[in-house]
Amino acid sequence: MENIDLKRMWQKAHIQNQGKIGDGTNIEEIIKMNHCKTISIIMSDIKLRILLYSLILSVFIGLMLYAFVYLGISFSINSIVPFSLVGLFLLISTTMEINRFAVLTRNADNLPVEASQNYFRKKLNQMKTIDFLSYLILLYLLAILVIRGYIQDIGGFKNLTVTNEFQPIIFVFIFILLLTPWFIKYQNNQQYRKIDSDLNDFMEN
Amino acid sequence: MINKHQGILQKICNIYFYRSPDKEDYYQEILIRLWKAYPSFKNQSSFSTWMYRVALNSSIDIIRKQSLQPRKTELSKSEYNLPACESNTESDLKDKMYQAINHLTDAEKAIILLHLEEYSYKEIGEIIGISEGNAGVRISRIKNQLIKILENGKH
Repeated sequence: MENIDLKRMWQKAHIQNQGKIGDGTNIEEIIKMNHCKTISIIMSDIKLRILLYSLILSVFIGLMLYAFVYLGISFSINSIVPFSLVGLFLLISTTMEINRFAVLTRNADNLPVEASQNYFRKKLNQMKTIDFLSYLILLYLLAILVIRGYIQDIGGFKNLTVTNEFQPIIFVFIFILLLTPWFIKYQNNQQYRKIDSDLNDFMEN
Repeated sequence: MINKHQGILQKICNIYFYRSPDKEDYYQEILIRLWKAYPSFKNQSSFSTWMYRVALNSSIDIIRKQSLQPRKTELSKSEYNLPACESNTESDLKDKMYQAINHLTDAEKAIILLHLEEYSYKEIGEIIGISEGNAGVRISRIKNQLIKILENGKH
């Protein structure tokens, strides 16, 4: 009985042509476009940010290479720390935007709805894992290099003392390096939380 | 063919983007996605079944894109004037139904739309990608939920 009522209501609500949306739409013109206006704006925003971060990162790397390789300037480990932080920030920002763009452009429209959701979830999880692992390897490697450089700077383990004023800074920097991949993982989970919960709803029986 | 089945797209747009100021825009996006997906249409199912599948996937994807990249949008007149004061009964009924459906999740919206459009459990299962039995169970649950919302105006 309930079933008949809902269907009747639905049919009654759609007796006349639904009209309104798409009236006067020129299909031939629309299909020539890549995306509609709203989605184009979203994609352009991300593309612009990728371009901007990549450009700044390239200039930064260029300047670093010019200073360290061409001019042969040699800084102590303490001076390199701020540069490394800036470089890291730019690298993380660029790759996160690229990842977001990749998530937005992938789809499997031809698959059944649930399979399409599964495909998306797989890609999303894959990207989150690759993201986390690349940062983990990169930053832990950097942490090892910083420790090695610092030990060499002070002339070996035997010179590690609590009185060295730069030591706490180095330790904090290493701590940040070790913590960053986990922070990125947390941030990714937060960013995609809404999507994850929607996907869970879909898979629910 | 798209012209012939425009009603499907309009209903899907209404279900997922009810009262959205960008509804017209999303309608265009779904059309573009249909056009891009068309080369892979292999006549294994009817055109309307395929169209439902692609349009439902596109709509859910658009919602996903928005949640990844939230944008500030102006409220439309219809959003400022909630509840809508439409005079004729058909519009009121339509409004009531879409408002109730709006309380459902994306998956539930897709399933109930297909059910209301007289698709069989088997066909719904094929479009959504679930078993016939599962479709039946889900439909029954969603219908009860929808009736409750329509009766009480809440879950």
